[in-house]
Amino acid sequence: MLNPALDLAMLMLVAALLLTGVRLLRGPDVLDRVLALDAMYVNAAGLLVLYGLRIDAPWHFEAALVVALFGSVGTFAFARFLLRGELLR
Amino acid sequence: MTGLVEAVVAFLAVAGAAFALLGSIGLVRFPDFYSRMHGPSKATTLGLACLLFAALVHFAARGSLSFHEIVFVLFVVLTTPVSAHLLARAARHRGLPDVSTGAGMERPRTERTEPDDAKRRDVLQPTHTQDPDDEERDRELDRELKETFPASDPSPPKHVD
Repeated sequence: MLNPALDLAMLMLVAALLLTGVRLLRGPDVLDRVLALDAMYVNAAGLLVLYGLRIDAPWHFEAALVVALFGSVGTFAFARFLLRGELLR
Repeated sequence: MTGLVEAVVAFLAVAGAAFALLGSIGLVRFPDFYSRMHGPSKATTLGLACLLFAALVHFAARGSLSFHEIVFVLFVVLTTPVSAHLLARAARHRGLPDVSTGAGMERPRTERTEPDDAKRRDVLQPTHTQDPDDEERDRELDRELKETFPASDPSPPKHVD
């Protein structure tokens, strides 16, 4: 009962990753690609959580947390760079 | 009891994945950047929160209740609006086209167009007209330069290794 639902959810997340990949490749601006990369990070973190549920292992949360942390920090850095033209003063 | 927990976990997982998928569909389908930002910043965040609550229920039912998931949810819910705000400010700064108000639409940045011939001529030709007094002063300066450096070669110096 649980495993088919988890498989379905993982398939949906893979489809979401492919769609964000489409936006990442299509652009048209740099900010669209940054946004698509941010959404990709969040989807990958969700996929990791689902994988941890699927194999019944609780130690995937740290990996997902690190992935989400990297995604948000990267988005901050990109947005700041595109806003100011520099990261550090 | 386990059947109920399994049903709740399955529902939360599928709902979270559906929200994430909807956010990504919005990211692909919406017409401009400002509306495209809504998908990942709201639907995908809610989807990740649903997935994490599914994991929380699942692992709490088998006796290993931890607060990792709640910390994770708090982190995502706190950082996503900040990054969306920064991205929106960067988009305003870059002047991205906005479909709803039409701002920035007259010069679409979405496609690279060949430069117009008229525009190219505008760029190549000087935009200001020469003042006759300035011409007179230029000739005077040239004469002065030739008197000062009589043997100087007017051609630019060649590059020597």
